[in-house]
Amino acid sequence: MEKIIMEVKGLTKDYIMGEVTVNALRGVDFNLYAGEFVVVLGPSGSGKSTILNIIGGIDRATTGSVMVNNCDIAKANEREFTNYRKSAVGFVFQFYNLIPNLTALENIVLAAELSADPIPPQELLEAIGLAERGGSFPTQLSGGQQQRIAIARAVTKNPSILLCDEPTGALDHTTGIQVLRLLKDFNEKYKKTVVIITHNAQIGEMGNRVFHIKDGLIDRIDTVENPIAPEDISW
Amino acid sequence: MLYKKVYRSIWKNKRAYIACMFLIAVGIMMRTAMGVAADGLATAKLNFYEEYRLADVWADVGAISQSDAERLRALTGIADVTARTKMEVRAELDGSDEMITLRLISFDPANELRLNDFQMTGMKPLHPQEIALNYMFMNANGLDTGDSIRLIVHGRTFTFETTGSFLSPEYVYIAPSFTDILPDNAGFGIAYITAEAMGNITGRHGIANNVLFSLESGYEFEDVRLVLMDALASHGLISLTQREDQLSYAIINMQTESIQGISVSMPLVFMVMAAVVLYLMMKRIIEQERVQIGTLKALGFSNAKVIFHYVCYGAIVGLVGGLVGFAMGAAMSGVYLEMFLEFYVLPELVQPISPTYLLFAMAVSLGTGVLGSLMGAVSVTALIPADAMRPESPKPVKYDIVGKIKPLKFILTSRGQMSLRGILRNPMRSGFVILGVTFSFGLLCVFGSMEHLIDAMIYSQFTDQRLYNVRVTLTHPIAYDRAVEAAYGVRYITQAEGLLQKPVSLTAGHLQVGTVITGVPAYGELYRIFDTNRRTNYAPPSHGIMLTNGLADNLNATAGSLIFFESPFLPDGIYIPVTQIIEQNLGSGAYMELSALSEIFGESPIATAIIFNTNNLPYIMDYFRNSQFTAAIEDKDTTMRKYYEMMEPYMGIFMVLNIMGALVAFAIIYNTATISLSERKREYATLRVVGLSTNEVCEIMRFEYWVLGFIGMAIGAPFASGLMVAVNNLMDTAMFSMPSTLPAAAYITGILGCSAAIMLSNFSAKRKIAKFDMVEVLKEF
Repeated sequence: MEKIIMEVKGLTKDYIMGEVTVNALRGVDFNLYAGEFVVVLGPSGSGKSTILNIIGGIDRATTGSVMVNNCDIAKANEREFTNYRKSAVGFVFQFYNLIPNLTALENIVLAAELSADPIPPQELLEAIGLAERGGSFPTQLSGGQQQRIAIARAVTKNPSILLCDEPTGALDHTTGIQVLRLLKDFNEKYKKTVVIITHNAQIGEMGNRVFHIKDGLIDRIDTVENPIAPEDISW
Repeated sequence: MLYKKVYRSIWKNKRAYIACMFLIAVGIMMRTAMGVAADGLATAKLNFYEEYRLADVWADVGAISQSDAERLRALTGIADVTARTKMEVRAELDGSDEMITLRLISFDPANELRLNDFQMTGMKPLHPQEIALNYMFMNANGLDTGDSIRLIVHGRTFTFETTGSFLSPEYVYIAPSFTDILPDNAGFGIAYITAEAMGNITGRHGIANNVLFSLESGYEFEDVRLVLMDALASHGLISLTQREDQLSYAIINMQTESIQGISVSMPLVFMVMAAVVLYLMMKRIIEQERVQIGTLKALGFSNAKVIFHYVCYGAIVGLVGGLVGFAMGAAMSGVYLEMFLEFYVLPELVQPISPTYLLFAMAVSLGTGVLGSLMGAVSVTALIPADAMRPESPKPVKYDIVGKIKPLKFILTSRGQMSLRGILRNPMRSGFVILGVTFSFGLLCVFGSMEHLIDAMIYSQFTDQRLYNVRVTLTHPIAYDRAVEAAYGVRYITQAEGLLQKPVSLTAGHLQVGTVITGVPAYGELYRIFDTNRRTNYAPPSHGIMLTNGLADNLNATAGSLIFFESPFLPDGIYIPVTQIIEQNLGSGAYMELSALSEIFGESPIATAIIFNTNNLPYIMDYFRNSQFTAAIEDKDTTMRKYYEMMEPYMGIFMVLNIMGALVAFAIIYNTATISLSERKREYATLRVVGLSTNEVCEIMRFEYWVLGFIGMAIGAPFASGLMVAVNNLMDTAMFSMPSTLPAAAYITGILGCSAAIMLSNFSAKRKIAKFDMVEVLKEF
């Protein structure tokens, strides 16, 4: 876990809302290492989603740098930004964001088609235990099933980093645990970095490191010596 | 994979897309149907002209011998010459009391290479008692080969046997003259008889009065005009007409050009509207699918790919609309051609639906679809994925109308105030709704009034201009007082006046037009010079000439222009000022006061026709049919009825256009309403959650729609007038122009149509609001 795959320095983000400027991030520094499982914890409005959006290439930083493979994502042009999203990161959203007019399998294939080295969608569908539901549309699936499809969609691109924004936020406990298991499996089986943001402190126990965010800054970073299995987490 | 999303989305919102496809389809249908029909007409006429050697120049002369005519071949620029005799005679058919005028034309059966040859069904008349009649005349009168027809010439009767019917390149469109341009197939016909038979009738064998010329390649009419005038002067040259001014040729050309003009401009209007609607729909989809777009971009889809994805919607709508429109147009072109056959007699009038029409249809419809959707989809470039995941911030109220105009607070309920603020909060959306209603209103007014306008045009011609029952054209000019006195001497004539009509040639600058000038008595009551646009009568000028708008356009003349006035009956031409241009919808010509016109010709007042009112029409018709002074007789009611009958096929087309107009109007209003509802789904759902009933929410929407609808209709009124003028400019020919003033009924049609569309859209929206799953809607953003 020594190889740095992302180096974040002096990250700030300001939102201008009418006549008010909101400083969502006020200078954030951290590194991400290959194959680690990171949990980002913080209350609502602390800036954790903003960090995820910026390092995921779906939002621009106001200042600072995000170095990935010697390239500063924070200063990337539109083409570089798109290529970064296409190949380097996979996103999992709180509300799944599946394309409603595509079936479960088609949602995964849609992402797989973007990758030069995808993990086969059918294999992932089996891995998430939804091989029988590939032909179902998102509205025909439960929330947990939709989130599993969303994870498979993010994973199929075979990205180096998987970024998950409150992946269990809309799920009940049991389903939430299943989803966390999937993420842990991806982390362990494929040796990929996983970053989860959540306000659920218990989830932090399964990460290698825990970032505590407060008022747009990293308050502290905890290293977890013995992360627990998702099944041992309760909330 | 995204293609599947496109198909499924289109299927899910099929009604809105079908409405948009319909707009494109109607535009392409018009282009294809009219274009194919116009091409068919153009191709058929050109083939016919070439195969049957249509002349380049016509010359009417007093008399010329065949041998003198033959010598004209030697003139520079002249390729071929055919001399013949042409005269108009009265005719009678067994069992018919129809007053018939036949234009008799002689031909030499031995000359197979004559100009203006004719295509026979049956045998060509070879013997002196045989006659060939034009197809439409035979058809209208139910004549068969072998039937007899009697010609009355100077009181003598000649009986002929019909050998068959013919089609002639010279008479593809058959009408008596430029002043009487609508065909009367039963009452006016063309007949060919042998030169020998013509000699028997006229008593002048070997003498012709009409010479046809074809020109050498590279020569134009202007190159030979002076040479021919000089060569024919000694033969009593009456008129020299180039092909472009020949009645049949000119009318078909005008018709073809007019159709071609409409076939381009009208579809353009539909395409622009379709592009606007697609743009609106795409804006809505982009708005609705913000999260999906954000997700796609987060997954790694580039802006170009996302835009391409949304452009596919428009491309599919365009292609399907284009194909449907092309198929409808191909089918409709047959209907158009059928309609042409009512007026034009051409062999092999085919429908050449060339692949270029399909390619054009596909290119234009695809272009429209792509352009409309591209304009709407291009906004995705500005959408940052992270922002797309959040609901869009509500639009600020920039101008609070309720706050500014205090009484509104007391007049309107809180829901009314919300409606008004809603209108101003999103001016772009409100503007598009207004635009949709305005356009629909214009279409409904224009298409809905066509039938009425044609009706009014014919009615005006016969009620505002012709205040007489019967018109008798005399075989030769008679002193005015004597003619009118004689008319009063006939029983049952209650009021009579005379008219003087002379063929003249008018020249303004380098433009020359052959026409007929009508001399109208100074204080006449039966024939009015009526301006259909200004709805005013004008007294005939004593010092100068009055031109109809069509003729003035052809001469590029305005009031005050100096016109060179020539006539075969004038030894030298004279310059005469134009006193006024008057708008007339049917026909083309010039007017002067009768005595002044007679004086130009060096005569005391004369008349070539008498017009009168009678209280015993059958008696009068019978009386004048048997008079040796009668060349032609016209009973106004019968003529008017024939005009209406002739316009019937047009009425069918107008009805189809009217229905199309209504459907298009509904499609536009429905779509803009659906788009607006979709944009405000969240707002309405919130109001339901707050506690407003479906009806109360609908009240906000209804009020907003009626306000916008009212503004749209108010702007639509001048827009409709402008559209009508534009359509008329396209349809205008020298012979025919539609009234440009929309009748009140047109505006009522527009108001009713738009109101119905708004009500139906509101009804549909109400059903959707009632079915809102509030939790689901509020979860969407």
